[in-house]
Amino acid sequence: MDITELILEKLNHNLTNEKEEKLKAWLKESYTHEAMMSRLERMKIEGEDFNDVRKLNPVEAWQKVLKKDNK
Amino acid sequence: MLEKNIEIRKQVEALFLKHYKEWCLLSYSYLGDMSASEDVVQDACIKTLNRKKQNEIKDLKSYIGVAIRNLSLKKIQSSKKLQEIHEDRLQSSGLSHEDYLIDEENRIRLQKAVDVLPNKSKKVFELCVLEGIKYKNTAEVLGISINTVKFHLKKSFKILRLELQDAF
Repeated sequence: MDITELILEKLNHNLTNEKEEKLKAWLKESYTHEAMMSRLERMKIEGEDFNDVRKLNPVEAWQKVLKKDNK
Repeated sequence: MLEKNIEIRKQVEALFLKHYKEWCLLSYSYLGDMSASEDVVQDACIKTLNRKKQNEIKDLKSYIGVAIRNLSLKKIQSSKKLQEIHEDRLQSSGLSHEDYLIDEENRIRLQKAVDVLPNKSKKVFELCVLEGIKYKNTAEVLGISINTVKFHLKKSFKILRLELQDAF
């Protein structure tokens, strides 16, 4: 399971204990991760739903990178 | 050297495909705009691919993460600057916000109309009318005669009158 999904599930309060441990381990890896999580939690409180994240397509995005890089 | 570049390209691609959503979420946590965040992540990777001293990068994933953070912050700073300029202009013009929006709308409409002018006429119009440069100097800059400047201006006004007849 990728970390984005864990973050989204955490923000939506439906993270299982096992997944919670994985997320905790990722948060402990660096201060940047913790800071990011805390910014996202604040955004969630302000009403953000983060639905757009699940729609992202890395393969299509990489093609854009190649296209931009060739310009 | 070439082999090294190909190797790094492969590594960046693999990291990109694996961490793209996570990286977008990182940028999004600063910007609050998913489309802008995608641009930031893509630009950070392009920057990494084109970095001259690639052999100095010790941890590629961390390097890209820092690049995303820096580009996101840079984006926030430039949008703050734009906001300040916008507010300054608003204050110094003495216009209400509503007046300003109408003014801005007209400016955009004019710019769109100018964009459809033939190339030479567009340049003459921009220099003489929008930048207020004298006919003589415009002629010198573009390497044309004053009469040609006048011809292009006349042509521009004729086209703009038609383009903007319903606008004002």
